[in-house]
Amino acid sequence: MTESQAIALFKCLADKSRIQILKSLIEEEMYVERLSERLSLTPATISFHLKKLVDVGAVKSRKEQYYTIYSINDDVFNVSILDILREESEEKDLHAERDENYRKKVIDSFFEYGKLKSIPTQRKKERIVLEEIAKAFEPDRSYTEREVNIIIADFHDDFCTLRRDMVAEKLLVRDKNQYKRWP
Amino acid sequence: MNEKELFDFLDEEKALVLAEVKELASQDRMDESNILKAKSNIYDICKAVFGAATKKASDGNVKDTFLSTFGNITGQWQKSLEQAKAHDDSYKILIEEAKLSAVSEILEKTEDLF
Repeated sequence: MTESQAIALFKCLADKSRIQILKSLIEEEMYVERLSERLSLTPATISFHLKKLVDVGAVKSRKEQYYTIYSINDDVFNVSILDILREESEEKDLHAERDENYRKKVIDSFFEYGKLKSIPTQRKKERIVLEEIAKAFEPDRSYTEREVNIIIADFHDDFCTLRRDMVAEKLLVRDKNQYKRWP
Repeated sequence: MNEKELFDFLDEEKALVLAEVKELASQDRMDESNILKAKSNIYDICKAVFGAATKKASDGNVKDTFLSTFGNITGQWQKSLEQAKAHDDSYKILIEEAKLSAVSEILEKTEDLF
């Protein structure tokens, strides 16, 4: 377990409702409604906490007919805290992690359910947003301007600005009215 | 008179919600506590909308003016809840449900008072 995974796990566990959920799951596997009745919390609240627990790897889920069954992920809890503390923190990894967290924060702020809410004014943030949109383009394919516009319009109505900015940022290359994603 | 009663009700409900926010925090249920804070803000929004409706309603029909404006605002929250459900966004579902539960209480009280 890396240092950042350990921090995420400990942060997630520092909540009474989530500890109660884990205590229930250690007894037996359960689905949302069962946990909801047992802990007197709404199904929506249980789902919210379970998502957090699944994200840090503390809980596993599997589909069974109409239900999603949740169970404890023993592997995570069998790791000794001393082993976690003995792990060396690498500065290089920390920088990469910080960049990745910043990137995720920008994407979460500017995108909602896959749509771009607004075009960032800060260049650094716009670059991240444009890189995210660029993922919708296949690397070795040529696109007409119309095709480019249609793909970008799926994210935001102002496809002209975004297309021009993607070319300026060298995320798209234009050659004789054909566009290609920068390799 | 009714306006004062409505405002008293809003103050009382807000105090109850804030007490629950505090209680959840003291039980180390911080996420649930923070989500419930969103509900506590709705009572102030309602007061502001009602105050504006009182000034705006030229024919004296404050209730209809208030319900129309408040309905426009809360309609967005309902849409946001539906969108969150469609995308299985559990955090947003909880926030919007908390806000809309305050809206239901307020609308019920408005019907009682006006």
